[in-house]
Amino acid sequence: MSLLAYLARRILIYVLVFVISASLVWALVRFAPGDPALTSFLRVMMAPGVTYTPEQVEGIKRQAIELLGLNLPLHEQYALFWRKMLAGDLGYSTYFMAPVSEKLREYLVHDLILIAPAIVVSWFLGNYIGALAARYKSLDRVLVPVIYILTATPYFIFGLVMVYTLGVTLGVFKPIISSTDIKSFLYSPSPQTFYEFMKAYTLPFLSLVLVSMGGWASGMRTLMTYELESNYARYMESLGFSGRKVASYAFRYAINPQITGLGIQLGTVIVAGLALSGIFNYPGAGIALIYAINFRDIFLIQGIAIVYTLMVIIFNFVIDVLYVVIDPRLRHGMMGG
Amino acid sequence: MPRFTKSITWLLLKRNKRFWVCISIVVAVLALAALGPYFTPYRAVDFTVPRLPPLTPGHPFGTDNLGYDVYSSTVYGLRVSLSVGLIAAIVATLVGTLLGLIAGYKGGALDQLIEGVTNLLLTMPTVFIMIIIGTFYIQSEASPSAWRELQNILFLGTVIGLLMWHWTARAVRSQVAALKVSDYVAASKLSGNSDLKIIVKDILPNIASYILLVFVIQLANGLATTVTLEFLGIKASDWSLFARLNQWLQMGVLWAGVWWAWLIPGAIIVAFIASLYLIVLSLDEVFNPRLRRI
Repeated sequence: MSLLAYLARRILIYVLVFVISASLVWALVRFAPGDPALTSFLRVMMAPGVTYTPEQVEGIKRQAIELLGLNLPLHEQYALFWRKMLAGDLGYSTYFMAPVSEKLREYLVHDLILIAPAIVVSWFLGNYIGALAARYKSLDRVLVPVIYILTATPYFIFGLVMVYTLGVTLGVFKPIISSTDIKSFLYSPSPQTFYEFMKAYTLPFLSLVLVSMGGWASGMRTLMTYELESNYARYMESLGFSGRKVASYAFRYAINPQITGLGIQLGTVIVAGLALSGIFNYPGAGIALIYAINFRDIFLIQGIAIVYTLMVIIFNFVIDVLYVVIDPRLRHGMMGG
Repeated sequence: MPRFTKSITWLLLKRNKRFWVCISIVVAVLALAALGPYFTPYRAVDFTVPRLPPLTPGHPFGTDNLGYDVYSSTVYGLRVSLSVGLIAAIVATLVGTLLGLIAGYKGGALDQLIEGVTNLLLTMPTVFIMIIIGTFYIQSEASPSAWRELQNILFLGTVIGLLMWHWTARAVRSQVAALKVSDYVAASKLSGNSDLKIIVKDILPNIASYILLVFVIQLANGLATTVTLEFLGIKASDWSLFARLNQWLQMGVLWAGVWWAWLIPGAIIVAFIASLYLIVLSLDEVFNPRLRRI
């Protein structure tokens, strides 16, 4: 299979995954009991504190139904959903009193700043530590409980521990990060703003890295243990190769499933990252999601679900491309060299 | 299994200290959830004296800054959260085993369909689906009846389970596909046994212990998902383990220094989930000679 055919196939699959996920979101929201979309839209249209006559309420309701397209046949409502989404219209947030897509654009940038580096760093660090644990038995005894306790810790609990110890009690870092911290560094980078940014950014970043590192390390440890027991590793040992050399070959084999695993774990890591950022008041979608759930802000939840699902899918595609570059079996098969 | 190997694995297991420590933790946490409520006069919603530190007589875990008894909220909360996680794991195991058996044994179009759904669930972030269902399909009332609460627990657990069965199905499918081409299954087929009999009598007993291990992992993952959803605001009951955490954060408990109110339940749930993972690891090491480290 040529590289282009492979990529085209993957893109087709991911488009399909996105269409199914978005449709599922649409259907779940559309058929939710109590018509939450209409309810929250009415909340936007009716000014608080004003008493309306029943006729006025009826009129506003009719207007809302028409604006939302709820009077259309179901298949037209579905088509309308896609038309609006492709035009970048994700509805109106009752909590922020602003269009959802406008808010999400800002959040997405902030979340990428936190989540993308954390995923990369934790993946490399975790695989390295996992490989170390598999290689040195004495280290393994200490590392295994640490690794597994880290994996078992829900992100937000770990974040709480970090914020309380390093942020509040010891006061080494700022326990809460604000959008000014991020923006002042982004728009006027200087040593001073970088210092302020890092002081607030370190704790959420570190929490995200350490917990997801546990998952990668435990996976790598098992994979490496298998590889080090395999025939080629035994053969290399008997030929007198150094332990380091054998481990480096085993690592090349063991790393492949970890790349696939990266794609599989992405969704979990991103949602967990959102929960974690709730602890630090991180100005990303996490806080918005918590508010949206508490205030039943249906368009905000729907928007976050769709945009972040798309983000996971795009990341997955990037990983697929990386996989071709990294795995020589695929690379030589596809690029003919 | 021959007597000899059986005694070796048992010996290895007996010597595995980590395994016994983890089993004790799991049993202790389960006992706390089951029996804990009988040892406290307070319910999770009762107000008492605020901000008492742990080990105060009558309040072994202290009280939080509103005066909720931390021990009571922990044991009642554990009940709800553990039940949701357990139901999720049971549903995932039942559905996953059934579909894994069909996919692995029957193959063909059904196998491809199940694989397609599995890949879909692996790629899309299913938590968002849980969040939407949890927010708009769970009926929350001001003071729900015990029956309504049970319904919510069952509902949330089933939703989580139905969105994570693919891990079990994938694992079961690969095992069944390997067993299907083995000699003894061929012999059973030649002697005229029906497919159903082969699956129930020949294949299931051989993968039962494996399914049990996957079940334990699913329980750990289901529980982790449950508590994360609770923190985000999706809860089966108002006294779910971390349902109050967000309110606390907004009220500034962190600055108020009532650390025990979140650290004690947090430590208990982490110890429980970590123990489940480590139990599976220990059993894997004992039963799988390639992983044995002596």
